[in-house]
Amino acid sequence: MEIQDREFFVLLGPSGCGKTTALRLAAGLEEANEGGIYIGERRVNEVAAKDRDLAMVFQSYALYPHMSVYDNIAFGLRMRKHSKDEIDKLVRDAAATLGIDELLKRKPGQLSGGQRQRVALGRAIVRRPQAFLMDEPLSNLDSKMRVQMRAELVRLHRELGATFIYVTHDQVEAMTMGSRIAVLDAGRLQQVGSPQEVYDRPTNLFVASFIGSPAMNLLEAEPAQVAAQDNSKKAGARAGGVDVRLPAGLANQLKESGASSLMLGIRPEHLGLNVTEPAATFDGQVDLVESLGNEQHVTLSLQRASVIARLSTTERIEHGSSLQLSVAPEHVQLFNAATKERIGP
Amino acid sequence: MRSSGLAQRWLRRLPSYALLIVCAAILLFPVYVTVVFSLHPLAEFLQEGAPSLWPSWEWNNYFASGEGVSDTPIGRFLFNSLVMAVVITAGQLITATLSAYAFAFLRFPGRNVLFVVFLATMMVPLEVAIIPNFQTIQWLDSQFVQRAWLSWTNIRFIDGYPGLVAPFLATGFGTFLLRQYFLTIPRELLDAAEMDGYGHIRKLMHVILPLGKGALATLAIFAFLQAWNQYLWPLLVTNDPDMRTVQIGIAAEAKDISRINVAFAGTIMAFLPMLLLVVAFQRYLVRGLFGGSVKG
Repeated sequence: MEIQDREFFVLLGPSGCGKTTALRLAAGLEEANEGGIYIGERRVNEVAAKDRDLAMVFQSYALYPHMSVYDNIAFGLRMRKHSKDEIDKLVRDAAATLGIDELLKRKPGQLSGGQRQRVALGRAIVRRPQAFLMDEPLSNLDSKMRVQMRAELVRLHRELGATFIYVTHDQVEAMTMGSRIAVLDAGRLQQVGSPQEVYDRPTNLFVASFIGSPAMNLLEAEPAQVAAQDNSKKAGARAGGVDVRLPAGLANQLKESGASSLMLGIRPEHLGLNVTEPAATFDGQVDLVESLGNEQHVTLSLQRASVIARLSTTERIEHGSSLQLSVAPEHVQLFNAATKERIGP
Repeated sequence: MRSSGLAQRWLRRLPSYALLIVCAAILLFPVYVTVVFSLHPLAEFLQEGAPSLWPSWEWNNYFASGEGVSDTPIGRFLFNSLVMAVVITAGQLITATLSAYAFAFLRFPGRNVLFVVFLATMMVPLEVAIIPNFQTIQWLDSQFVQRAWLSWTNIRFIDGYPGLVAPFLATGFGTFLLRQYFLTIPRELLDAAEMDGYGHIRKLMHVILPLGKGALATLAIFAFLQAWNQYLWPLLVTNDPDMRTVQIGIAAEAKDISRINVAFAGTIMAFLPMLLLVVAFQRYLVRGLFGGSVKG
């Protein structure tokens, strides 16, 4: 895994996937049994945490409860041989950047969650490190505060021009903030790419199901000869009795892969009521309609499975009615069910 | 309505208050008796029957020259006790802080086994260890007397402060108490300090000790009380009346029936410093024992 200079790099994965451990390894708080950790050209496996020129922001903020905000922010500077005036200037600059100059005399116990978060950030930025390591820094905030801090972190990243390595299990944070995302599961790197790449072309079933909300529909399928538009038989797939036509390129790659059992992936927003020249059409009964105001999530029961579609609220859909949902060929994704790897571009 | 509600509440509380008052009376009775007896003249103890439970205000037990407590070396005894208790307390705070830090935060092979060994020392009563402890102290004392390169220091283990304090400078209990408290300190605080370049000693000084004040105060009070109330060990390692602690001094007085009134006065004198200490640090005692159970 390589992280570019000045990048906002997000480590994304479910809890227990090893993302925090990866961060702590980078920070020097854990020792690596094997493998190398490099900052620039320098191997830092044997370099102490304090000499790696990194700052870390912790999930619990890790503010010292017995010290004022000012002392919390100045704490790291006092070890680094700055003069008193210098420390004072740096602390006040950092506080101004984060809009907490009014709070410098308070103790952490007297601050709200958002304010504590800012102090924790202040403690990190005051040292002007090469890179910031952030371990789920927003997970203890309420949802409104989280949205606000998300925007602020992006702004901070732009202003500081430093590398951010950000750990989260929240895909919204990852998608909205990251310049690149690394998806981890069970201690293994699954995929690295821009948020759009990871969303559009997940490399395996884990990434496909982990990214996106509602999650991607995954249906069991197998390769089959299916009727094309002109009624000739072509290579395609069959999922739960439904024929799925594939674009020529994908059909060829399916053949090359030699996979015998497949998972068919369709994003909820790619299922529609009126799709011209659909790859497949699913008939079923509406099981659940969840309206979010601007869109509705419709769960459709098929014979052996169910799919979720994200539809506009202009369509009135009744619970229990029958419905046909179609998908365009270019939105069909295939995975080898045995290897769980993506088939196709 | 209101007043009858209040009366009812009082009525409901009456049984528990009555019980508490009885318990308090039982606990305080010996203290009361000691105070009263310390204010009786000697004649009160020599007459037929039990001494009166009402004080006869004989302040001479405390102050009269030639016969009161002020005339015994009580000041010297108190001073000896104080030196012993302070040194033991300081020693326990230092050793317990360091060992608790190691057990709580450092990873080293055999840590858990070693910790169990530490805990096991809490199960050994003082009386079991007292003979080997005494032999050790005796041997040390002989070394300091005989070896030229040691004897110039004039350090004495028998009839000296080193002997009084040495066996109590480190305890499994102190290590255990502080370790348990240290474990409640979020790991991330220490990680943050480490990222900031703070080493073990600085982390201890700047992060852990300020947060662990309550636990340290608890340990300090326990250690001080225990040291102050020592009897058997000081009796064993001191013979010189000048090195007696206050407990031994009082016991010596009490053996002489003609000085029994003065012994009671001495007991009160020995008890007062402890009372002041506990009153002054009561809030730490409670906080230390229950601290960590509620998130601050």
